[in-house]
Amino acid sequence: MSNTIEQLQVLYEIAMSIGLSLDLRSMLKNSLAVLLKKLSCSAGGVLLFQPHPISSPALHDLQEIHFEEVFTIPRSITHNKAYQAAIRHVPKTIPADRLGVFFQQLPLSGQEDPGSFFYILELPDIGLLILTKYGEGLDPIILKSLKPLSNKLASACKACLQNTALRESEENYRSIFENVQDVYLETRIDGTIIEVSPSIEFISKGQYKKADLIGKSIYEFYTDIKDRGGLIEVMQKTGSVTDFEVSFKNRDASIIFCSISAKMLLNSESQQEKIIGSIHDITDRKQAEDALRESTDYLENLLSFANAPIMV
Amino acid sequence: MFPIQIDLTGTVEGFQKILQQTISQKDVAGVLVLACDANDFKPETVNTILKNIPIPIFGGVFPEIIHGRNKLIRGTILVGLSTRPNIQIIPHLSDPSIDYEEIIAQKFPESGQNKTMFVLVDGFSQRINALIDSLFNYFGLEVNYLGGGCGSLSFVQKPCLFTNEGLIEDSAVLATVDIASGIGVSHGWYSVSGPFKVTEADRNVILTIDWQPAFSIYRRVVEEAAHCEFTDTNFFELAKSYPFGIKRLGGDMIVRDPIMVKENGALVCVGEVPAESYVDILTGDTSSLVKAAGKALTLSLEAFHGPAGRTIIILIDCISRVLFLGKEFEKEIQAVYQEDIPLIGALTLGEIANSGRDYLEFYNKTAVVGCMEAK
Repeated sequence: MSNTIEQLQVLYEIAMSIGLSLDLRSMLKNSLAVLLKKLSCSAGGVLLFQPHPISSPALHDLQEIHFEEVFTIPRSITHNKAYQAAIRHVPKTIPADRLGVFFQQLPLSGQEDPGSFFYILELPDIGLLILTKYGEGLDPIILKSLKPLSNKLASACKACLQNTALRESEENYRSIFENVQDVYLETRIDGTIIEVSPSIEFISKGQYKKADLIGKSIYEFYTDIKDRGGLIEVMQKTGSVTDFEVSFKNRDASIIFCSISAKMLLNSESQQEKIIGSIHDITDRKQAEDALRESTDYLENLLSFANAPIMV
Repeated sequence: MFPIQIDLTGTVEGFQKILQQTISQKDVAGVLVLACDANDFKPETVNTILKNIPIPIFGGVFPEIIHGRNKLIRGTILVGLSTRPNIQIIPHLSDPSIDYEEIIAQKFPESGQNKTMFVLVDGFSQRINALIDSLFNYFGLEVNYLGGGCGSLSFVQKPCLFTNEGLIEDSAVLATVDIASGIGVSHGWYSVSGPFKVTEADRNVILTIDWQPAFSIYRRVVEEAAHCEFTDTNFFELAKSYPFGIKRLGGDMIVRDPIMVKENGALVCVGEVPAESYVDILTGDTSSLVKAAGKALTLSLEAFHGPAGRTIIILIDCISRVLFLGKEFEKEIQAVYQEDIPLIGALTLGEIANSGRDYLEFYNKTAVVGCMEAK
């Protein structure tokens, strides 16, 4: 039996080891290893809800949950009888509305063989922690003291999952950003370009790259700077524009017709901060419209002479 | 059967002679080597011999070795194994970029039915703890682990691990065998002062304790307890009696041996001391250490569940216990020696073992006893 000071020291050391990484596997590897070493446990595992509430609807909106083993020490735990006994106490699936009843039973402890203990602890809102220990069981005070540590471990797991979700989301947006054929553009209110997608190379037919434009003024590229004024005017009234037609000068002085869909972003003090939007190349459409207009004009001209004999 | 051959000359010729005798015996499927550092074996003198051995061979060079009641400073012991060991080498044991768990998983795709793993490491490699954690993360308690740090008390890193590829360094040799074993671990050191918080550490170097240079705190406690002052030359002489102990609940403290003080007041230990851990400063006496060695034997015999019949005792004992006990170390061997059971052993630079019940650890200043099935 250890004294209170020793218990506090050990619990402190475990607490300090939790959440040192935002990668779930790395974080659990470090945290669980320290937890097992410090409590003289023989094995441990973390089971998380599936679907987990980070990437799915809120917990109370889920119909049914099952627990997925995401990390164990040791890696292969099928021969650990105490751990397998603990797993038998974990329902394979559980209706979400019964989860609270299950958690009320925790921490759950038992023995597979004499001197072979298992413990199931709640990781609030995210899953379960399982520990096994040979010899003497965990001191009841320690078992109760593990609650704040399992809370911390649960928070660390959530942070890791959120980080993963955020990274995936960022990668997703990055992929869209880098592959979209339209141009994504961010400018300050004064017109300074602060972000532009790599697709500017496509729309400018290779004449401009992203690096050529960052820090430049968008005014340099309008064929008629009144277009910018018109755009700002509409946005100041409505906060956004959709398919607002403008034209830009390419490096070779050719004209690129574009439609802009954009919105004004405000800062925390409700002041106009920047404009974000997408630019769609409508040069082909414009040329088709011009051709159609010319054709129509031609036909109208012809028709205007309809009362006269037409010589073909 | 565990045919044991011993050469007391410590020469390459003597080693070659007993090696031939061992491998010529019927049913010998593998060889364990325990050799003394004073033999001065070098790759250029033993590699040709090792590379021509037709069966798996593994082992280490240690400061000293044990045969029966005798502690040897020169000589070689060979143990013939009737079960073919699966020997794997983990190289680059100081490389901070390596994930040893993945290497172990590749080298041991099936943990199989092996009951015991000999774990021998270059005692001067810098990532022994990472290897130990990786071993446990992969195998858990499926095997009993027994081994320790090889090398020289000169504190100079040099080739110290026997393999079929030759004598190698900065590596680990893992040998799994289908031999039942029981492992006992005990040290006998007790607290004289503490707890102290390790506020800054870099692996095996304690930088600060309670935010002060580690040596300033250590010096105050040790000089008071030992009634003796540190000088420019006596650090190891005094420090060998006052190791650190890292706490854990439900188990003995893990001992860490301070072996050097750096200019910035940091203390270099054998084995890692994590930052944010609490440590005590320990000491021991002949009685407590010898009693602990006896306890390790008892625990190993209790933990042995192999078939009844012949067994062998392997004692893995820290060389620093020899330095601490001096002539009285013979009492420690006596505490482990059983009249009817062969005893061999190595005096190591750190010990690797688990009791079969809890986490695998890298120990210092600890007595580890393995009771092995002799088949």
